[in-house]
Amino acid sequence: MSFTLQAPYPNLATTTILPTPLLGDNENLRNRLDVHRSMTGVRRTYINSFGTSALVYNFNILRPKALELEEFIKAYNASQWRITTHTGQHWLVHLTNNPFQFTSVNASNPGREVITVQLQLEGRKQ
Amino acid sequence: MSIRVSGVYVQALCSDTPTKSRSASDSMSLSDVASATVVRVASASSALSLTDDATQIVVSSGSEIDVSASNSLSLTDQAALIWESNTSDELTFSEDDVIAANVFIRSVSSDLSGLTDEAICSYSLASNLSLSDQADETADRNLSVSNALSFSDLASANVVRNVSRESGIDLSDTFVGILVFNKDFEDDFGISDDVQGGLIRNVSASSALSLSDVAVRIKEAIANDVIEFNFDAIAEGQVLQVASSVLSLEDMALPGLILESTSNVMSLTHAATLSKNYEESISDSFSLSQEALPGIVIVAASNLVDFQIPELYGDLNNELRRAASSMMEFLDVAELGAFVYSRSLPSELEVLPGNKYLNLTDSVSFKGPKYVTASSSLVLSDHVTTTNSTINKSVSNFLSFADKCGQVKSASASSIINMTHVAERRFYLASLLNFNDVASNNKSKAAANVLSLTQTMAVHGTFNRTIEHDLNLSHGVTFEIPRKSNECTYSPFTGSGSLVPATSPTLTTGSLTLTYNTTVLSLRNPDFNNQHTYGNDRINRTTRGGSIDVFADPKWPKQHTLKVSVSSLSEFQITSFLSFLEESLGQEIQLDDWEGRTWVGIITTPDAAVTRDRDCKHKLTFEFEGELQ
Repeated sequence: MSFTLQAPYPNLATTTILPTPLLGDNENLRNRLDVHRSMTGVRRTYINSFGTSALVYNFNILRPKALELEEFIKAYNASQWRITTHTGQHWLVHLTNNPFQFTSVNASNPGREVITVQLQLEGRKQ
Repeated sequence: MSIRVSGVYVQALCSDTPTKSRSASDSMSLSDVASATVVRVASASSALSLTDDATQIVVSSGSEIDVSASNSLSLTDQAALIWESNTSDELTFSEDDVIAANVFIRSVSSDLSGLTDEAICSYSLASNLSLSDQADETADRNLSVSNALSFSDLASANVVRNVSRESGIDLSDTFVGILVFNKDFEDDFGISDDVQGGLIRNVSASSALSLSDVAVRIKEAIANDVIEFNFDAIAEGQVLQVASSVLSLEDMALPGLILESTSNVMSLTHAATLSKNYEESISDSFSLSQEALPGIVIVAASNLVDFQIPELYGDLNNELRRAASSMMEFLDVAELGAFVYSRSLPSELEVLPGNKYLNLTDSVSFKGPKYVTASSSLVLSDHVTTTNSTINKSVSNFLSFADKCGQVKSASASSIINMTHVAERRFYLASLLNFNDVASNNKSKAAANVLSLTQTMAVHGTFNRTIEHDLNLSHGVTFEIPRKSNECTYSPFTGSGSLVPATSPTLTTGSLTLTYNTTVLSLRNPDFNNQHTYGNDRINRTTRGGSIDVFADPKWPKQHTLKVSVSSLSEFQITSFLSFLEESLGQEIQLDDWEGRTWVGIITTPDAAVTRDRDCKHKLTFEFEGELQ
């Protein structure tokens, strides 16, 4: 499965297809919990449930795809994205990491360099 | 002030020389201004006693003088009889005297026909001049011309001015032809003729009063004068002259008296010329001549409205019309200055039934940008009381308003016409404009009023307005072609409005080269793990509800940072790099990367370290921030 980025939402104009992210992706809720304990030992919890999640994906992409992703980020770094994960889930997210870093790890030739990139996203599942 | 009094009185003078008798010249001139008290006593003993408070001038007759023979005293010998030490024909009161101090007696001629005081300043308390003639027996003999008493004051410090409470001039003749001049402290000057005998003769002689004010002090003294003429015998007349220029002449002529022609003529002349003689003209005569500078409001004509002509009312029609026309003609023209004019017709004036032609003309001319308003309020009210015998009746008003204003600023001309005809048989209620002509005898045609109101509205122009609304409509179209290569190649699927270039930038091969001015440093391509960092300014907020608001303006700056490490360098290269780094410190350099792209920016790590690992295995690391060209 590929990893699809589409922006800007809802008037989607560009679609970028990334390869499947590396293992070790993260997904966590953005809810907040405050626990208060009284003098009698009774616990009271206060929660903020936003319904959003934070997603972290790491990709190893080739240099041409890195250039495409760079252009995509340049164009829509402040827009809402619609992503389709490798599991087929659809999310409406924002890019949260700034600055965005491309690291060349290895390559066979200049046009085939492998670039490591991390996407930090936050949004809700559609 | 000069006062001339012609009267009849008896004078008896005596000499201090008992053996001499002189014939009097029937004239007496007394010059007394100072505090000297001169007492002339014509007593039965014929003694002339000149008594003064000053010891030097006490002249007392030592013996009796028989004056019965001539009854006259002639002082023609230069006062030798009175004042032997003085041969200069002067009767002098020494100033050394305590009481007579500040007394100045001018030269006295031997001829006592006149007393002439040219410079009189009297400040003492004893300034009384008393002429008391009580010789009854000499009354008939002294009715000649020689009994004239003449005060001629030419100097400004006149007696009238300087008279104090005790220095009044009191001429009181209680017998025949007595004139009393009373000058009190309040500047009241009275002429009182109390005629008890010789009625006709004395009236004509003493009724003439001439006030001629020439000196300055006299004028100041009469600023608040009240001049009264009391003619008890024949007529009563008062002339009240005050500083406010109000002159009231009231002549109450008794039947058959002769003051009719003179007292009924009053001439008021107002001329706008110089104003210097304004006050003088008021005090000099009965003719009020008001001379003022341009700008003084002259309302003399308006006072004529109150002028009563009672004898013209209720008599002949001609008299009535004449009176009406004469009172309506007012023509007042004022130049320069504010002009306020108001007129009103006397309410008592009645005009016979008929047409009235009234023409009011107000002419206001001025110079200068002053606001002048000319308005006339005119009310015409015709009431005809009908009787059965009256056939033709007509009521008509011809009213013409002509207001003209020119050569002024903010001028306004307006005419307000309000006609109200009230009849008995027609009533119109709630009409803004009501023309109602009704003849009360019911023989005229029905009154017809045609009122035409026309309102026209014209279009002066058409102004078209357009409505514009900025409505941003956007749409997005994207697509995707699933291919395996899409994950590796530059293949964005760009739809309408996409901001991502559809084609990939061209990448070639090259070597890392740093250039600063003429210094060019060529290095090996960097090692792996070089980083390209892209950063931009962006606002990222999370709301209380958990939603994310992200905003970034495309104009906001963006940063590209390259972090490279180059190894396996020679000593010469790292030395050259350090030299290059020192030379280009803080300056923009050109960086040609290994992909054939050119960057312009600065090296942000001036403390970049070079590591000498082994021979010809040196390594360096630096960061570069710049823009892609």
